[in-house]
Amino acid sequence: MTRGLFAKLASANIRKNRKIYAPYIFACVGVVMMFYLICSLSYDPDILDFYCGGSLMVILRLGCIVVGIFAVIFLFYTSSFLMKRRKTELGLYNVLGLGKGHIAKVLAWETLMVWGESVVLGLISGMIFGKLAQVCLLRMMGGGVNYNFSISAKTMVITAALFAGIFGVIYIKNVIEIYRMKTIDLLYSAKQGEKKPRANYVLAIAGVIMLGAGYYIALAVKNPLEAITFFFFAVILVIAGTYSCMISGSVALLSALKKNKTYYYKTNHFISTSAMMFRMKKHGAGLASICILATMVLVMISSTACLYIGADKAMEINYPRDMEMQYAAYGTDRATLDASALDLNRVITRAMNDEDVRTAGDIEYSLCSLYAKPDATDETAFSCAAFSGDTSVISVSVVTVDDYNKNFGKNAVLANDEVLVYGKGVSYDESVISFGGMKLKVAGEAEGLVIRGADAADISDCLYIVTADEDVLLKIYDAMEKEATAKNYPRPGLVAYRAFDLMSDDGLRVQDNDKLNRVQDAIYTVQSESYNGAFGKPVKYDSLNFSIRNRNAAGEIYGLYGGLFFLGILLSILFMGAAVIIMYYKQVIEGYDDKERFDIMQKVGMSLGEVKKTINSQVLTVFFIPLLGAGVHMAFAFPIIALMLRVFMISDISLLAIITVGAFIAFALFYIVSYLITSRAYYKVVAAE
Amino acid sequence: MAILEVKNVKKIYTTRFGGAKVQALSNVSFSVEDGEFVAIMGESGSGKTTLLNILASLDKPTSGEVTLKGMNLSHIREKDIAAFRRDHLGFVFQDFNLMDNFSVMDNIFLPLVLSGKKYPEMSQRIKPIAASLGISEILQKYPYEISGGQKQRTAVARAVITNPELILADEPTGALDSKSADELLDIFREINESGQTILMVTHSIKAASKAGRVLFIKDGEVFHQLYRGAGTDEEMFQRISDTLTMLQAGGNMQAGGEIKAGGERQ
Ligand SMILES: Nc1ncnc2c1ncn2[C@@H]1O[C@H](COP(=O)(O)OP(=O)(O)OP(=O)(O)O)[C@@H](O)[C@H]1O
Ligand SMILES: [Mg+2]
Repeated sequence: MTRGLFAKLASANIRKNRKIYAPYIFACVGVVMMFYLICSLSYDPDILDFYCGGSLMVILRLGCIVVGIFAVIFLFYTSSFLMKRRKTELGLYNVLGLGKGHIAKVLAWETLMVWGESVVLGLISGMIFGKLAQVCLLRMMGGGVNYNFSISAKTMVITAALFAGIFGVIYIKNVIEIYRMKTIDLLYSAKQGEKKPRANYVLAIAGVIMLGAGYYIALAVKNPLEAITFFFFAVILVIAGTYSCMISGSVALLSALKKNKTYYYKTNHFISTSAMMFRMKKHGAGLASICILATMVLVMISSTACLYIGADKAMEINYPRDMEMQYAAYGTDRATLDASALDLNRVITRAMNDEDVRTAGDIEYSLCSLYAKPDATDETAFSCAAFSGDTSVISVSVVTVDDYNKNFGKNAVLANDEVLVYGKGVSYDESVISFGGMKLKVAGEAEGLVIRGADAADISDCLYIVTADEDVLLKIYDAMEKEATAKNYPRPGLVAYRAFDLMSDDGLRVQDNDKLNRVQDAIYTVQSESYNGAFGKPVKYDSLNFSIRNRNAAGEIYGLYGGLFFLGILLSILFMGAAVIIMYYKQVIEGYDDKERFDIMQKVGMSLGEVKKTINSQVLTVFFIPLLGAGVHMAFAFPIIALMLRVFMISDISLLAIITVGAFIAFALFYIVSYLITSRAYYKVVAAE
Repeated sequence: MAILEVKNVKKIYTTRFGGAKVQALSNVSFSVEDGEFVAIMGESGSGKTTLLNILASLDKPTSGEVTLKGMNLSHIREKDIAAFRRDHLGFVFQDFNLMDNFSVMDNIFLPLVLSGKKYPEMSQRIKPIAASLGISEILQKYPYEISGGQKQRTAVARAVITNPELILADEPTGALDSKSADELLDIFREINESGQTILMVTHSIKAASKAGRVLFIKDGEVFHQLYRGAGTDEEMFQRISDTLTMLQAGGNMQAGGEIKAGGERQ
């Protein structure tokens, strides 16, 4: 037999099995395209040039790895389905005189052809969409767009090689399987009677426990810093739990129902219960996969969209002015605070002169800053706490009503025992509040107060308290300091704070990040001169902490969040495509199975209408399970996602809620539409004569 | 009393795209008495399955009428047909038609559950039937775990559990080895002797020789029929093979003539 024959046979096979081969090749092309796309972006010089290009590269490389791992799992899964359907045909070849070696050769040709087709088509579409993707990414990062078209040979080689590897391994697996099987098994493998599903109670219970544990972790974590680690564990538990629940849990539940004779032998329960058992056994893994993919899409899209959309508002409060700086004094006296405030002004004035810029929109106040925690028994009584990242610990800043009025254009008047409050993340609705035993009346909300950027960026919630005067402020400070000393906690600080925008000589706002950085450097320089006595008698600097931040980091964050959102979208498209392919295959298998049932049930005396009704309801139940599962997973993931976003300076829970619900609705629509489209494959099989 | 009457039944298939017409049955008339065991024989493509499907109300004749226990099948409303079939007819097919997701017991229960019977009654009914068919031991097994003969006996149990007026069997021994086939035929004869009416399509002379009467179909018509009378199985076997040889040779017996002459009733 000549080599040409095998090649011809192989290409004829692919054409003949179009119905099941086409989605496979489509899936391969899609995965190749995604891999090439993300991989080439991660080497794109235009993106590297961007000011957050470096960190984005890392993220994109991680994205590459994710797609790579995904490609292995997904292609193994779909190809195994393909092989199952084709074994009869291969068995027939075997019977008709093609040796197993020959079959292996035919398969080798098939694999080679599919690989070639997917890599070529995948790379071409990758190049076409690559430019589009690059433009989108740059736009989302807030950058400009260029129109040069670049092709990365390196990426093409990596892509082709990776998929050659995957296809090779799949091929070897298939050949081993064929050598192991007897001809007769090959012939009948597609028609082999379904084994009775056995309920594996151990696995079912383990699944429920894992799912419960995953959910519990997601709800129990209160610390944003720990959230990411715990999220990882929760995800693994939920994935494992979903698989075992859907595979064994469902069968266990159904066989329990089946044991109940009065329930089971009812006309409308009888057929669906045992049919569902077989359906779940066969499709449990597929359903769990769809459910997991759906959940991943929802988590990715809602969190990254929240980052991207929330970035504007977040940056506004994270960087209230172009430049912010403060002296924080821990465990010193009032005089040191005054001296440091004075010093801060001198330093700024000098630096402004040196750099030829002016300040605008100045904010200048002193405050007492501390970490506190409400008592377990009394929500209104705060006592000193150490910062741990726990959400129960909040950062409290105390300012005087004079500073508040002066800086934010108000004219509030407070009695001695009255305060105004303003919260980030928390809204304080009580009518009283006490610190270290000092009870104060809450007179209202400190509207229009602009909190320090560092507080906005802090993962802890924070509360600003406006007091009648400095005496009250210092009383709070003293009370809390005593408590901190006694408990050996970090002591509260007294802070001199300044924030302002920068205007250049011509009266325009400074836009240039480099200029911002130069001014920041100048301030540093003058500050260290002051430390060395440039302004005469030095302040007791040893107990002072100087810190400064400017808006320039905001651009970087924009770019990063844009990049994350972009990657989230790409991966979501990939995962949704995978879900559709799995759904399609599931429908085709179900179609073949149901066709036989259709015929038999009619023969034993069900009308066509009844048969259609019972089967439809089963197919629909099976269809809704993954969507329902994804919805429940998402609901439990919500709190921990909200917690993690705090690390990224986003603490707007209502925004996350809106986006999550929106994403779920959009996904459900997509899911229903793709169900309707793939179910045509089902009806075609069932209706075939 | 005739339990089943078939009068001038004609069936013309039109292919789906309105192309060629196939006349599967041209003019079939016969009747079956209560308690009879009738076999139908004929060449492949002669219209046996078509006839059976019409009797089973799975298909409608182009013209002519079928009456079961005085009920004209074409007068039954579409939505009542399934229930009618369930209550009055039992089926045994060549390829068993068992549902692979039901245990043997549940397969047998299927028609009863569909007509809303309660579990205690069903389990009461199945006991003697399973015992007489020799499948009591395998009731909990699934179709993939049992042999072809056992599958066919399960199918018989499913057909008789509703106490139907008539059992229709389409080549019930076709997929069985000769031993299982013999066992099945003995079972058929037993249930027939206990009063059950059976109509069976078969290619096997041996199977047909167990019946009380054999109808031969050719070119869409009942061409000839044989009665067992007091003859033994062996005699019956011989007469059937003679008839078939004659038919093959393009026999000169005219259908009408034979039947009008009362067949070979002795
Ligand atoms: N659904 C159909 N559409 C068109 N023609 C049909 C259809 N079913 C059967 N026929 C034709 O009607 C004729 C009788 O078919 P039928 O299946 O009744 O034969 P049979 O006697 O059962 O044959 P066999 O012994 O091979 O089972 C055949 O010529 C067949 O091709
Ligand atoms: Mg037939």
